[in-house]
Amino acid sequence: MLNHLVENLFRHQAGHLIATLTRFLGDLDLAEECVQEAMIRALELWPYRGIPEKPEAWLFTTARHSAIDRLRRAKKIIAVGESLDSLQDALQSPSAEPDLLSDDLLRLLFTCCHPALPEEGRVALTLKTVSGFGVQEIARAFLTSTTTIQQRLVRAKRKIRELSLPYELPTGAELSERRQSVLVVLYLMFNEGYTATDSSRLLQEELCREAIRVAGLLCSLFPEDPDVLGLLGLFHFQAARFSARTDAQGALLRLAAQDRSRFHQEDIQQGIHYTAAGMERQFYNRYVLQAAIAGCHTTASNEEGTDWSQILSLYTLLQELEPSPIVSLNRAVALGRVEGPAAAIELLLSKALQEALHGYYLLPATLASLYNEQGKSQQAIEYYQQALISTNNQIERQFLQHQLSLLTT
Amino acid sequence: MSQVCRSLVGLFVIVVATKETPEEKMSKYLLLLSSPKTIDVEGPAFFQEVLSKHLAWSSALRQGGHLLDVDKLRFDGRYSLQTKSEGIVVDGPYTETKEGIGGYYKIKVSSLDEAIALAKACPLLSYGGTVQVIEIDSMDNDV
Repeated sequence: MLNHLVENLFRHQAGHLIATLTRFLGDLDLAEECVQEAMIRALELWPYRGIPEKPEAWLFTTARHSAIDRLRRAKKIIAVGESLDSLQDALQSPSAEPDLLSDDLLRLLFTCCHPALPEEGRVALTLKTVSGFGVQEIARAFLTSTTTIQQRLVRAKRKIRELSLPYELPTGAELSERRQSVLVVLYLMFNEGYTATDSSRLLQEELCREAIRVAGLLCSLFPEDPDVLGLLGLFHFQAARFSARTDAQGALLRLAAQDRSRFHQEDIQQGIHYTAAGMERQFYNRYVLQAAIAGCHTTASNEEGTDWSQILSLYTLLQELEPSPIVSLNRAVALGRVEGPAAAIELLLSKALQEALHGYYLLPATLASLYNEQGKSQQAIEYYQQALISTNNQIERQFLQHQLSLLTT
Repeated sequence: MSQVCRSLVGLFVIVVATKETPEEKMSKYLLLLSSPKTIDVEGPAFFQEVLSKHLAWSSALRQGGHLLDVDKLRFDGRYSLQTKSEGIVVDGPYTETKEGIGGYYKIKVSSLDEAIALAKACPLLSYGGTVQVIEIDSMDNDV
């Protein structure tokens, strides 16, 4: 008897099972219920009988039985009889193995990320169905209530029904448009995991890993797409620094203070691989450029060895391609490294940037650090205090307070 | 004839073995496990967590040489039988369905304390389930 559960078996299988059942049943809610029931069955039986030899197949068969039972009870069996037969056939055919299942997962992913759905709903729905996250987990990851997440899920599903969105991969021009929407969802998913450091760190890391996993799935569908390659490169470079970002007490560390020997080497290798592949196809691409910037930081041997002029030129390209105040802020930091703090301060005090980033804590925090570099501690203190007003994140506040205490004592 | 000899030899060996290493007196217990009435089902990671813990617990029982038998009982298909004047009357199924005993572990331990210690480690307890510990009576118990 096998006693070892494959890591994340349930989480990863949930997505596959829901995706395949949805294809045959055409009903996401029903598919989710059947998969849930199969997992409850596993929870009832496996503690006594042990894990079946092929747990994935067992869960699949059990979920399928549950679907057939439910449809029979609802007397819908005749209407969907054909699809149940084909479901049975598909499950028994050798092609019902992983490849086909991943196709189903991609279909489900594209429907969950449909641009007609509200953006918040897309992320929640993708996490719930494709990635097998529980409502409580999603709520914790997004620092919101389970009720809010429930509402987002209900609204998104209602929209799918109202618009009769098919669980299919789009074709032609629609495919590339819809791919953008999927990329945005993955980007949000990763960022949520990467920045919201005050909930469980383990959960945050899982969120990032999941974004990487789904992006890898997308890459199997679009192996030549620079957006997808760039996104994967960016994710891996960022993920490489995951465990080095905080100290033993969980306090946030600036990149300069991070222990580079703790960077995850495999992620760095993957980051280089995908970024290089993306560059080869399209250098002037917002994801590829972001990956290249992250790569400059992550592969530098230390803070002094960082190629800031390279980073500055990458940010300049990114700013041209996608003008955004956040990009300008980051570019100013790089400028400060290359030309000195005065040039960066001038840029950050510009009216346009001050207005666009009003209330965003990183603007005053960056100014404070630049003034500090110039030895103007009075200005630095004022800007750190201003930054403290603008964030509620505990770890960020701790960091700012620490900087302040260094200046005032 | 050789057959008989062999079994006699076998018997002899067994007798010698028990004499040389007198086994500590072992008792048998039945652990009856009930799942919580309402388990707060929170997504696949939760299922994985509960299962992993439970499987770790049951392999510890097995590896400790305690486990004699284990099985899962059906929630439906339970009837209580009573004798009335007309004969045996079927009275059931039990109404306690989901709250009822989910399965049993039959174990071998040296004392009640040990049985309770093993039962206490059952992860179902931390999710609101119960474990009943019942000693199995034996003919040798009074010897």
